[in-house]
Amino acid sequence: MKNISIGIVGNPNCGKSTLFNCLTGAKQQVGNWPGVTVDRKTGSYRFKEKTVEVVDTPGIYSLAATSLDEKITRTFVLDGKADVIVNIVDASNIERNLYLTSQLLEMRAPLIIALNMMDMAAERQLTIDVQGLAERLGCPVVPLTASKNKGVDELKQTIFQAADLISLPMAETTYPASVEEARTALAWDLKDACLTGGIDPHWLALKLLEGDSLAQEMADPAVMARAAVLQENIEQQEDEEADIVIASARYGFVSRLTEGLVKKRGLVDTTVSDRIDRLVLSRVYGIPIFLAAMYLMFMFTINLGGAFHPGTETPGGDGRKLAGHGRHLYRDLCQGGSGRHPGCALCRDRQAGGRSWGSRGALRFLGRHRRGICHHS
Amino acid sequence: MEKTLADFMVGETGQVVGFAKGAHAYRQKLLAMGLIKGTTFRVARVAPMGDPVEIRIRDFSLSLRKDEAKALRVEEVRQ
Repeated sequence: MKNISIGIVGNPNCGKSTLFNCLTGAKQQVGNWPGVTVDRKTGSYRFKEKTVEVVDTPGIYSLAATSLDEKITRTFVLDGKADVIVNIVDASNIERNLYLTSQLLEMRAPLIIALNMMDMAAERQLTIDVQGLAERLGCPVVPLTASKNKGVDELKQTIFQAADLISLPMAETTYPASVEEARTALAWDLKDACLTGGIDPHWLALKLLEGDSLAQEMADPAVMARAAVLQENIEQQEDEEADIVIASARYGFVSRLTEGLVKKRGLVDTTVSDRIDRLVLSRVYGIPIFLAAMYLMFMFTINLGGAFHPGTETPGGDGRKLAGHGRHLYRDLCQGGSGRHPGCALCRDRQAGGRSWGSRGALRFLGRHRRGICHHS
Repeated sequence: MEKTLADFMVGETGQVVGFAKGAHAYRQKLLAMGLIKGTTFRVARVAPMGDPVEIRIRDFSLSLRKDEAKALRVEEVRQ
């Protein structure tokens, strides 16, 4: 039976790797993309007697190929080796994520949309009409909360079904007439060159109009010169450079796509993490909070950590003695104390055993190497 | 009135009016983030030395370096 191979594509931080781990469990290995140092993860899982090969790609915002990550992902999608491209869309940040989707649609990739972070979207009071979105996109949309393993089985089922169908989503960005004309004209020039590479000439034409460097490598100088003329035409007609016109059209497509389907109940602009940010990053309170946190951590390390220092015994649960000792240690370290702890109950207890209690370790910890300084009285 | 992102105070709202010529690769990044003509944003935070600037657009936060934000032409929106 033929195996299925899928690729996971999405924005940075939208849960690609979480989903990857959900799907493949522990059966993952890390490999390198040929010739570059960015990690590629591949793994597999079994579903209904079939092995599904999963490839995790680097997170990207766009397929513009201005960076290595984008180039890698784009080459992977262009290769057409994956039966299904699972495009993860962060539901709580849907517009920006669908910008990438619009570019995947342009590439005529066999798409499944995994609408991840549905829990976050709910927290932000967003409601998304999943069915409506699937109809407008013309491809399956599976709601998902990968971090809680919700919807993963449904996704596996959808992948299984989609791999057998050779249907491509039909939704497409509509560009201004000037861009469409230029694209058609350029695609005509490119059709022979594209025939051998199996690349859609309309897609390549659009990329050339955008001034994409990878596309420029694929085209010959004559076509390049023509593309430059057409770019100029667009700029004159639209009063804006071609790549800006194209990007704006994509965002226009995204807003038409989500119009009426993504609703926000009330204005919840501040999530819990926003509120925490506001406090700890505040001009007034920020630094004091930072210092207090460092102080607490230091006290915690000395007071409790000292008790577990090698060569000492645990204090036998006498918290007050321990806290008193901690104060002495603190004085040793921060206020240049002598290492003598007059009246320290814990040191008195220890003296019978002939052991120093924590100062040494703590001083070593600070790199002072003041050995033998702790005299217990 | 057109100004640069660095001139904005925290809490002020602005709108993208266009892009400066050149800086093609960086412009592509900004476009991918949804900073297209007509997009409104609010300046959420400014770092102590005035760089970087954090803006809030399309329900997410974006930090921009002052130098890089020069590629962006913005104007203030009065409310």
